[in-house]
Amino acid sequence: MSVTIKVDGKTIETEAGRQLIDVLNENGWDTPHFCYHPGLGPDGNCRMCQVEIVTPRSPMLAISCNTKVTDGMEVVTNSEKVKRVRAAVEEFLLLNHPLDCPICDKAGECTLQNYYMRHDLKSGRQEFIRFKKSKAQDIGPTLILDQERCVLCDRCVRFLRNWAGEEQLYIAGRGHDAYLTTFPGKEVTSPYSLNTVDLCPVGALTSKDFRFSTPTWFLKRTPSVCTTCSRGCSMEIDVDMRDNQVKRLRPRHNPHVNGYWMCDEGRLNYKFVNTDRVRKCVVEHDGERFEALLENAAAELARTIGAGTGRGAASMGGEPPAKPHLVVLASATCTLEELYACKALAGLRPGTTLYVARHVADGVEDRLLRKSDRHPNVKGAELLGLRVVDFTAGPDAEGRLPVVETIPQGAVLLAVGFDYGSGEPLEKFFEKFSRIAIIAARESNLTRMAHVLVPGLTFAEKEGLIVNFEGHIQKLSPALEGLWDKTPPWEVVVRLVAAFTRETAFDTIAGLRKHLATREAAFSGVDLDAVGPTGIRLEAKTV
Amino acid sequence: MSKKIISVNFDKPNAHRLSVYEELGGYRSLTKLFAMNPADVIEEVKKSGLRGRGGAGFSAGMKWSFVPKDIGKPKYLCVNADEGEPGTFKDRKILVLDPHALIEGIVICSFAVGIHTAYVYVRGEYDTPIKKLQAAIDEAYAKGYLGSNIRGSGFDLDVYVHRGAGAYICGEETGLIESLEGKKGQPRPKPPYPAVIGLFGCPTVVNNVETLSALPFILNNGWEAYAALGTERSKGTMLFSISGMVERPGVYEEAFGVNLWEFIERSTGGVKGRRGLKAVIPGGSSSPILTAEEARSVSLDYESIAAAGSMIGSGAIIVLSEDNCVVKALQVISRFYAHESCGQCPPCREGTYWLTRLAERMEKGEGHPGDLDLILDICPNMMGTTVCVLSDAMALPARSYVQKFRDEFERHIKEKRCPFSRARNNVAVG
Repeated sequence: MSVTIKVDGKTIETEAGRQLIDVLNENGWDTPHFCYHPGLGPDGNCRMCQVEIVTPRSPMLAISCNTKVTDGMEVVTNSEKVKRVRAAVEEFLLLNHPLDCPICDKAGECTLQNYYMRHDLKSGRQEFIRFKKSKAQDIGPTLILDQERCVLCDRCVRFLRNWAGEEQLYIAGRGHDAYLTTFPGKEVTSPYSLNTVDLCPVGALTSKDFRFSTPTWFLKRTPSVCTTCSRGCSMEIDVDMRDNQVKRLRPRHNPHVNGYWMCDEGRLNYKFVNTDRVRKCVVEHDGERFEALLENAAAELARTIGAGTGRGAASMGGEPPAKPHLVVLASATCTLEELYACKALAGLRPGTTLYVARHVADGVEDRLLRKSDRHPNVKGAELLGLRVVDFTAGPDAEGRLPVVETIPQGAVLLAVGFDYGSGEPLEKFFEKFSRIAIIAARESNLTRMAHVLVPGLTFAEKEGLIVNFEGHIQKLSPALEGLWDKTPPWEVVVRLVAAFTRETAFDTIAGLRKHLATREAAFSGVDLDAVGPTGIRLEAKTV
Repeated sequence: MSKKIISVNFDKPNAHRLSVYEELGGYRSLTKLFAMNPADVIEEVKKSGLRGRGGAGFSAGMKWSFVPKDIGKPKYLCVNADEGEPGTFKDRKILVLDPHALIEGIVICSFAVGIHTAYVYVRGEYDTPIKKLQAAIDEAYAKGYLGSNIRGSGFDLDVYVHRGAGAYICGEETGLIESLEGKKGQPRPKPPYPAVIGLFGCPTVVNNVETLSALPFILNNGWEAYAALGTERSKGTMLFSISGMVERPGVYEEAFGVNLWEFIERSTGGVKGRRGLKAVIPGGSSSPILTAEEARSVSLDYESIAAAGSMIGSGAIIVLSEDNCVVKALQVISRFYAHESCGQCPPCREGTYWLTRLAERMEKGEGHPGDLDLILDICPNMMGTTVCVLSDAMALPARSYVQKFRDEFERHIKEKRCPFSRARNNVAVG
């Protein structure tokens, strides 16, 4: 049912029963608030979101987070009274707040700072010694607590209790002696604990991982998607502009996938982007490993799979060998574009089989966000009609590895995207091949087995689409340029494809996507170039 | 001669015993009650003009009528016996001397609203009143005035006594409800009001002990008899707890409409030691202070006291003599509110603390000239901006102390000491 309200003289139409604060903030007003959070609901204790509601007698202050809109409601947000209340609440909060800004992680993205600039800007009038409470307290594997900074908004308590289902923080004491703490002898161990750091409007709860890492104004934020499990939580990648390193991941709001949160495992899975990288192309020749330029490595790659470079140019030496059987093994962590390029290659080159490998061991699954399948794009592979093979279980009762019996003698392997773990079954599988070509971003036992190694790109450096377990397509966006080589893996594979076809549709990622959407039934009618920040849900019938 | 309704049995020996209570006419209202339509009982109480005696003064009958009728949820009655308002000690008298009057009132209210479970939330410090109340409840159960099928009426009601654990804020109706639910006594934002969503999410009536204890009289004598007492908008009588610098502090019942000071003098013998009157706090420490002149000229009823800028509140009258220090009084009460604040919202949590520090240094003689205007600026920021009115209960009086006795504050600042600290009979303790 639609209702009409008036705010500062302006008429707004909305649905009945919605919270006033949401209606205000969606229509251009910026109502300050601490304790309210759209993912947690109102609490009503911070008093910052108060606005005036016009009544027959006189305007009445009400908290907009807990006031449902009714037809004809008249709201005033720019009166002297409202301005005074906002400045007053800010002043009260600053009264005993420690002047930690220079050393506080939250500086630059702190609600208290921002509201001071927007709603207060007065000198402090507090002349009494501020409260001394516990600072830099280790309260668990992921969190550090500073009780002095806490504004007692109760968000973290409500998040852990109501959403994560584990009450591990609470506010003890009464009045100005109130303080945030863990239960006696206990820690915060929830696998979603780091969401409280995002939630905390100030620097009371800080992440051990990010502590003292980077002033927040040096961070460039890029929207992307988590690739640690098949949920694919929307997130942002924060890169320090000074040294071009990923410093942290944080969830983004996506009502279709993850709401407002993400798990700690996914959030902390970024360090390998900065370290453990394959930095150079490597070619193995007669038992010796040489560093190579990309063009030469690519040529050797082409020679390995029994293709010329497409222009009859010389390879590294010797005559082109007879075409061996090629197994293309793509990780289920590959993007749609990478998988499709592999599919094109397998389709155009005779004597090729393509498998998509699940190789990361299953993880914990819960009723919140985590899925046991630790591959972000299994669904994408299935929708492309590719065969997904499970390497996580290891050899079967007869000691056989999956699909290994189908490998003919002298077959060569092209492995794409194994950045998230190798594992023994995979390594044993690789050993069956006479020649191994790998495109990978991360150093591992597998890359050390490569005869031709081309550096790939991590999730943080490439553009690509992935499809989560529910058939929701989301887009990875590059947060930094490829650290050692900027060529995305799909392009490397596509250059190999070029040896087998005159098709030019794959010259750009847009061209590849269009090719995909027109030829793959599961994606028909979907504009893959128009995948927005919260993704596209594929129709149920095709999933 | 003051009219006694609530305190009528206070001087009757052993009136707390059921047998004596029955002889005095107790529980006979139930016969009339069970023959009535519950909706008519609500009407009767509405027309009587009975207002809440806990401090808010809201019409009892109207509060009952807010409870939704056929909602499919059980309804609850919470009897507020927390008696936390400083200066108030009248509910304890009822619990100790006439507990069956309360029980009778509980039955009347529960029948009218359709409640079958009542909790009496008594402040934990009231050891003797709790014991007396529980003994009376046990007697009532034994004689069939409580439990199932009360006196053959078909009406069931269970009453439980719950001890508080030492928090003023649990006298606030939603703080009380939270505490009963086993949680921290932190008030809830209103709306929704307890009448719709209260204890365990169900419709709940929260009434003060004294309010309920007036119901037997109303049932027995009709609403007209009650409304005949008092003034136009302040019907009936109230128990006033009078303390401070008076000859005979105590609990005195009076119908509304008498002159405030005349009533105090008549009941208590006036200012102790015949010293001069300085000020009167009319309704508990949460009420703004009245000067001696105001106290002598104002009528003791809700409207008149409100017009004078204060409130009847819980009827706790505190008398200050010329030997008392208003700054010291501010220090004492602000320390109370700072200690009792639940800590949820910044204006109260920080404001009460700030005012306490300012009052403390003022009383020590270390006040700064700007402190008075600072206090007057802080107080409006604490009023109407919080979850519950504890913040207002600090700020309203604090502002009145500074406004009406500014000269005393300025003397403290100028003389760098408390001018009254050496006076005899200084009422302040610690």
